[in-house]
Amino acid sequence: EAAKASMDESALDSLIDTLGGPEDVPTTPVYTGPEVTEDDIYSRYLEEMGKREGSLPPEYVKLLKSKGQDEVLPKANEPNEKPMTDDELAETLSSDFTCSTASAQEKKTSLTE
Amino acid sequence: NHFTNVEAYESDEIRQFRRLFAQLAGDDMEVCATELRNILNKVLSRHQDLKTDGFSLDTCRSMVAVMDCDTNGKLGFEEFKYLWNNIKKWQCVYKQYVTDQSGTLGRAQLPNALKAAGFHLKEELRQVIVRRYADEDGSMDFNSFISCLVRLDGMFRTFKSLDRDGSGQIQVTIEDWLQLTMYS
Amino acid sequence: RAEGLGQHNNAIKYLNQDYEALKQQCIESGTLFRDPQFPAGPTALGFKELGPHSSKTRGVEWKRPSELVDDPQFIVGGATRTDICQGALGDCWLLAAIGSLTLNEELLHRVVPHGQSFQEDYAGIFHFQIWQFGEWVDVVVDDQLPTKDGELLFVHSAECTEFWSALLEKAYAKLNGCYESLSGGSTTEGFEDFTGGVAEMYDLKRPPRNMGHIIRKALERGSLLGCSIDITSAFDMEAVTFKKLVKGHAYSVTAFRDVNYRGQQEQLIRIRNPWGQVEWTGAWSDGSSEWNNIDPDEREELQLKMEDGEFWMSFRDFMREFSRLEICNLTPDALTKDELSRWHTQVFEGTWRRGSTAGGCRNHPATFWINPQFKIKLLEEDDDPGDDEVACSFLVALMQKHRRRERRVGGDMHTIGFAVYEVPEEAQGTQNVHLKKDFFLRNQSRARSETFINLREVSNQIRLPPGEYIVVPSTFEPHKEADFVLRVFTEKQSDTAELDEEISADLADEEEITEDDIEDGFKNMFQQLAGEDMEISVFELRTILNRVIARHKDLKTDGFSVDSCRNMVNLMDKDGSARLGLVEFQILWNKIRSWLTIFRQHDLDKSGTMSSYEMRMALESAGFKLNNKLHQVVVARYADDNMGVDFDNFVCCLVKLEAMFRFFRSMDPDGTGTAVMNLAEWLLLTMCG
Repeated sequence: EAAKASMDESALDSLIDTLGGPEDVPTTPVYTGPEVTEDDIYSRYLEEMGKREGSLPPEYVKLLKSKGQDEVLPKANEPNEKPMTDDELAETLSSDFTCSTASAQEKKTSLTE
Repeated sequence: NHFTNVEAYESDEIRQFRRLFAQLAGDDMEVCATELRNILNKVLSRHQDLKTDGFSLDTCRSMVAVMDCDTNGKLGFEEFKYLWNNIKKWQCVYKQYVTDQSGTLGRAQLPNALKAAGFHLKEELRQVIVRRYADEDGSMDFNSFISCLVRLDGMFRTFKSLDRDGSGQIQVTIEDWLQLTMYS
Repeated sequence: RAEGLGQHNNAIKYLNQDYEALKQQCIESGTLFRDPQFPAGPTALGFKELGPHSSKTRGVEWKRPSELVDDPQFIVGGATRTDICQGALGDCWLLAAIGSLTLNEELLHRVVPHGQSFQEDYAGIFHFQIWQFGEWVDVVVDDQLPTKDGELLFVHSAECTEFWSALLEKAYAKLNGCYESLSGGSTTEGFEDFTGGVAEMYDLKRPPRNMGHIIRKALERGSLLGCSIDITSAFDMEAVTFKKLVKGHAYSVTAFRDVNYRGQQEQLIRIRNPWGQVEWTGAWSDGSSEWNNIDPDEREELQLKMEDGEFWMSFRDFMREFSRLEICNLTPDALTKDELSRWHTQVFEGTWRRGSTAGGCRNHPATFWINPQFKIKLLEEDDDPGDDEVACSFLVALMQKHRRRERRVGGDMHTIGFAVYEVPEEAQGTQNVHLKKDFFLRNQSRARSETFINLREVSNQIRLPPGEYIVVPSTFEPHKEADFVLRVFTEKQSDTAELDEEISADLADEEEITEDDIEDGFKNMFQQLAGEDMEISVFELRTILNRVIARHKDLKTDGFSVDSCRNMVNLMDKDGSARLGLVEFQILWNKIRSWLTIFRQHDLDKSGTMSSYEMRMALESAGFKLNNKLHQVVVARYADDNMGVDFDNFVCCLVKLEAMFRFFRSMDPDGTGTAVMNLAEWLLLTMCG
C-alpha cells in the first residue's frame, strides 16, 4: 500500500478537477406539461372469515381449551431457546472450523476443467 | 419449482444448524449480505490463524448473489447451509497450504490448494484467478480465497446446469448471459 | 415444462411425491405410509395459537382412522355436504367451499379421485388434486389425523366412520405449510383452488338490480356460491345475530327456488352453515309456520327438518341479513349473460420485488411506473346485438401467490389491485416498451379495480373499445414483495404480452483509441500518478477513486473496496497485466466522468444515491436497456438495504455491465443473439468479473 503515500497530491487534484463539479451538471428536463389528475385510490381491509373465535362451533372451542385425555407434561429437557449473542453465534457456527487431514478428505468435490 | 419443502425428518445436526440459521437470519428467515459479512468477520476474529483484511460488503454481496437462486438478494436455509459447509471445508484447505511466515496463501501454493479444494484447473484460468483475486505479490489472503472459491464453485455448477445434454458446450442468449454474470 | 403438465388430467406431483409408487412401496413392505414431507407432529398443526407448546395443542394425539373407529370408510353413500362439519379451526371458508363442491359430482371427483378406500389396497396413504396458481397439483397425505379426547380436532363427517373430508383438509393444510395457516380466508380461495375457476364478489348492500336472477343462473350452470356477514368493526363484538346467523363466518349457498305462498311467488334461498349445525331461526327456517301455507307436495320436497346446518330463508331476508356473496364461475362463460359464449383465457406470471418492480399504486407516481406491465390487444367487439356501444368485454383477475404460507413467518396477504391504460400511439404495435413515469403523469387510466383489497385475488369485468391497453398490477403500497398470476379472460380473440424492454447496449468503439489521441495534460498527470511502471495498480486506483469521493461530498458512498477495484481493473485490463496502462486508464476515466454526470442528473431527490427507479433511468441514459428481470438482478446485487445504489456500486455496476456486453459480443460476433461456449471459455470470462 505504498502507493497511497507516494501518490502526487497535486497531480491527483488536477486529475480530479477534470471531472468537473456538481454545478456543471445540467438539470434533467422535468416534465412540465399538464398533469392529469387521477382520483386517489383507496384501499379496503376485509377481515377474513374464520379469524375470530366466534366463528368456531362452540363445543370445539371447549375441546380446544380442554387439556386432552392424556396430558403430556412439557419435557424438562427442551433445548434452551434463549437467543444467543452474535459472539456466541459466531463461536457455535465455527466451532468445527478445525483442520485434521481426515476432515479435509471427507466429501471432496472434484471439478475438472 | 416454487414449492419449497421445509419440514421433513431431520438429523439432530441439521436441526441444530437450523436453529443457528434462524438466529442469524432474524424475522425474515433469510441471510442478507450485511448479516453474512458480520458473521464472517466475527468468526475471523476468533480464528486468528486465518489471515485476512476482513470481508467487505461488496464481496459478501457477490457471494450472496452467486448462491442465491431466487434472486431476492438473500440466502435461504439451504443456500446458507451449502455455503457454510463449503467455507468449513475450504478454511481447512487454507490452513493446510498457508505459508508459515505470511499467514497467506503463497503463489506457489495456490495450484495445490485449488486441487485440494477439488478444482483441477488449467494454467490459463489459474492466471486469471491470480490476477483477479491475488495481491500484487501473487499471494491470497483468506477472504480472497473464499470469495474466489465460492465463485468458482458457483460458475462450475451454473455451467453444469446449463449443459443439460452433457455436450460440454452451452448456448446462452444475451439475457441469460447478463442475468448469470451480473448477478454474481 | 412438458406439454400439458399441470392440467387437471396431468397434475404436477407435489414435492415429487408419486401416490401410486409410494402406495405400492408401502404395500410391498407391509407398512402404513408416514409422510416425511408433512410429519404428523406439532409443526404440522401450527406456529402460534396452535404452535408447539401452546395450551391449545396440549393433549393432541395423531391417530389413524382405524384407531378411532372400528370400520373406517373413505366415503359413505356418496360425498355430500353433511360430510363437512367444522372443527376447532377457523377454516369455515374452505369448508363452505368444499360443501358447495359436493353439489357438483364431476368437479368433486377431480379433487377427490375415485378408487380410494380403507379396505382395498389400504396403505395409510391418500391423494387429492388441488389447483394452485394456474396449475393442478396432486398432493399425497398419510391418514394420521390430529385428535383430542378421542375425537377429530378439525373437520369431521356427520357420519363418524367417514374420513374423506378430514383427509382433504389435511392435504390443503400440507400445501399451505400447516393447519393454522388455514385460519381465516375467503370462500373464493377455496372455490378457485378446487375448480381453477374465477370468482366475483358482490356487495349485497349495493347489489345489481337482478341479483336473484344472477344467483339462480349461477346455480343452474354449476357455479359455486358462498355468502357471509361482514364484521364491520373491531367493536362488533356480537358473534351471532338474534336469529342465529354467525358473523364473519362463511356459508355455502346450495339452492334457489320459487314457491307459491298464499297466492304469491316467494323466492327462497337455501344456505348451509359448515358447522353442520346452528341454523337461521327466522321465516322459512326448518320448523317455521310459513311451510304450512304452501302446497303439501312442494313442502314434502323442500322442507328441511334436520339440525344439520342447512336451512331455507326468503330471498328478501337473505339480502337484508347477509352482506357479501361470492360466485365462482367454472370458466368465465356468460358472467352476466344467459347464453354461453366462448372466452379466451391467458395466464401471466409476474413478481413485485422491492426496489425493482414493487412500485405501489398510482398514488405513488414516483414508483408506480416500475410495476410490471402487460399489454392486451382487443381486436373485435362483442357480439351483442342488443347493444349499440362498440366495446370489448374482458375480465382481469390478479392473484397473489403463496402468501398464506408466509403466515408462519409473520407475513400475510398484501392489499392489491390493478389499473388499465390505453397504449400511446407511438408505442402501438410494438412489443418491447415499458411505459415510463411521464406517461402516467400525462394519461389517465381507462379502468381500474374498484378498490385495492387484502384478498388473495382481485377481479373486475371491464368493457372498453377495441384497441391496445396495458394492465398494471400492483400492491397498494410500494416495496411489498410477492409473486402474482394475472389472468385475462376475453370474450373474443386477443393478444396479450408483458411489456418489457428489449435488451441492448449502446457502446462506444474503443478499439480506435491510441496513446496519440490522449492529451498531453492527461499524459502528464498519469505519469505522475502511475510512477515508474507507468501502470495504475489496484491500490492506486482505489486511492484515486476514494479521493474523488472525498472531493465530491454530495455523492453518498461507503468508499471503494479493494475487491471492487480489483474487479474493475480486471474488467478494463486488456493486456493481462492486472494493472491499467495509459490508454486503459484514459478509457476508464472518460467513463467515470460521464457516469458521474449521469449519476447527478438522475439523482432526482438529491439523496446522493440512486433509488432503484432512478437507477433504471440512469442505466438507460448510460446506453443500457434492460428488461424487468435484469433490473431486478441489478438491484438485488448492487443496492443496499434501503434499496439505494451508492456511487461506488453505481460505477462497479456500469463497468461490469459494459464488460459483460462486450464479452458477449466477442462470443457472438455475428450478432445472432446467442453465444456458444465451452467450460474453459465460460470460466475465463466469468471468473475475471
